[in-house]
Amino acid sequence: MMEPKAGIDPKVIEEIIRFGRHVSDAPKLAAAPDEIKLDTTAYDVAYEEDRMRLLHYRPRSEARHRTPLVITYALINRFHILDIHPDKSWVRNLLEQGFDVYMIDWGSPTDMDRYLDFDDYVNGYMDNCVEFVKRESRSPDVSLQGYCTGGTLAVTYAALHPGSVRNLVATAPVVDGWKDTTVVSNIARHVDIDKMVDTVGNMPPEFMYYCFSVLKPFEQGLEKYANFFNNIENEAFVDNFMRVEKWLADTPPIPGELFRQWIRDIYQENLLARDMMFVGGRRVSLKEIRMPVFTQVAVGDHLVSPECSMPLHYAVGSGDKTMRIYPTGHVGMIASSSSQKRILPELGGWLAERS
Amino acid sequence: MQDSGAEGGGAGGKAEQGGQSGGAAFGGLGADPAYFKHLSVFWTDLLHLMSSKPQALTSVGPMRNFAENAKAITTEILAANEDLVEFNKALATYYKQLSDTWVEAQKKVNAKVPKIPNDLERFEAYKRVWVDMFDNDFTELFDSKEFGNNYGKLVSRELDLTKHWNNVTAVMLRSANLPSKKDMLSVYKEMHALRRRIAKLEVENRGLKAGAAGQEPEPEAREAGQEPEPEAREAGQEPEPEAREAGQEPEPEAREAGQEPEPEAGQEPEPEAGQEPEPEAGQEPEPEAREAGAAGQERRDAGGWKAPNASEENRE
Repeated sequence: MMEPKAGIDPKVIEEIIRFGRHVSDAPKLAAAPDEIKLDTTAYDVAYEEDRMRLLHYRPRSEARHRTPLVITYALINRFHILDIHPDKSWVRNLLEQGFDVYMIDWGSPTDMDRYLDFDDYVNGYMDNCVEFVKRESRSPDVSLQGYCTGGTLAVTYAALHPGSVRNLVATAPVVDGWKDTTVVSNIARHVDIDKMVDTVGNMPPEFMYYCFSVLKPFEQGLEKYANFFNNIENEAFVDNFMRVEKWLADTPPIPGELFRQWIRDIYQENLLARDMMFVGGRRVSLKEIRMPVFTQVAVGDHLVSPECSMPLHYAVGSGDKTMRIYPTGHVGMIASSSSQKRILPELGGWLAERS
Repeated sequence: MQDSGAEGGGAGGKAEQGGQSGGAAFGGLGADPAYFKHLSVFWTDLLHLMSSKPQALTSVGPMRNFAENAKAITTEILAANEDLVEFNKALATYYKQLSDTWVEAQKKVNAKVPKIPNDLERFEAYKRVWVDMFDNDFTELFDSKEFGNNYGKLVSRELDLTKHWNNVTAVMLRSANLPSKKDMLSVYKEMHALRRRIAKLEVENRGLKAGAAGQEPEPEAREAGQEPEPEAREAGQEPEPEAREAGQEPEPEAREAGQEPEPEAGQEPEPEAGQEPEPEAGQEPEPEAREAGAAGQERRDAGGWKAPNASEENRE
């Protein structure tokens, strides 16, 4: 053993050497993001329209609840996070609980889609998907779940098409933009949205990615990658890390008009929470949501703060409503071992009683 | 060419205003950016007027177009320079905010841990303190109104620069007889309007068909007491409901050997292929059989929804 010079602990030197070795070994031990396939549960593409696809997951349980569940994924990133890993898959868990699960994948809009707006998404694509599922499953209605911005779309749909929704599940929905305390809302409130959409058209994915990257700049920008190299020999850790990284980096553009309405109506003018938002010429009133509602909120959510989601619970006209607040984060709520152990069983039990 | 003329007129107007209000500026000190703009536009216009007539007879090609549009480009570049100054101000403020926050955060870390520890355990603790302090301070900055205001300005000025660049590109495209972004957007807008119009016509058409066949309206409309909502909006996207309406389950096709996608490494095995029993004609298959069938059978191809085959499944 070398004598320590200048009082440096030899373990520190060893640690630095070990870290360097891990960095150089990383390409041998980890797949490149492009080589990773994110889907883990088998599905069929049941319906397609423009870029949007309705995925129908194959059943994994003999027990079946009568009412199918349609999941509306968010506008940011792709749906894969709900099925990111077999052990942490939201979809797989619900299938195993006997639900018939469909998922709306919004796809990647191109410049041609820049004029798509809330009306097209809610009264067009979503309604077509729900009608399709109703016909295919011969069910008069569906359970509708929305995650993050998908939660806002689901809430809007439920308010405008209450007859088609038996149960509404809102997971970290963006509802009250003025109460949102996150960095995202601060940026959204100060952006000249008209100039942005008129100039660049669709919301560029890079902008979204950079907005999220400043949320916890040092934990997410430095420490996370240091942990990755420190754990490079842990196969399960590396697999999970690369899957999530690939998911994070894969965020499609958002159609310009939809983004304009999103920022203006939700974050800047807070029209949804004030029952003053119009979609397709119809006013969206949260009081029209009278079906059973389950609101899921994460205390540590730094993308959609709890104060932004919770007003939904108090604003809906439903007499059968439940809100659960979980000690986790935005992604942890849907793709973690705690979501498998606690959040999904609670959701499944609630849905099963009403399906 | 008309657009170019309009832009030129606008620029000329600005210069004229400057001339009226700022004779002293044009009088020659030259520090005023408006003077340089005026100077440039003045000579561009004058040279254009002096030179264009005889030469115009000799050419009608793209270079002629480009010469005509050169003034628009000059004007855009001059205006872009003004916006660039504002952009740089906001950018400097942005980096100052980052820098100040860094210094403050480092001061806090130093106050808490005055000396960088040299043993592993305490170094890990130091690292934790450093990351937490910096994350907190930077999150506080990004949440602040001051940051939001300046960031809004920064983005706005950047968008102004983008606009100028788009305008310059549009002039060059026009010179090459190619459609500009603006032209393409008008096409996209028209397509979007057509899509909606077709969807509306389809709904009306379905309503007429349903009325002729004496069918009941959609369940949702029935429940809500409303007119049926628009359904599939694109041509051919209405699913054919005959089989379902007649109470028949479509016959699941026997899955051919080799059509089942192989489960990938790390995936749980899927239900085995070819095990689903064939439902009897006119009967509802048992739930189990239907579940198994759903995994491999082709969906109805008619009416616009996609009939996936084994090769399409999970092939994103």
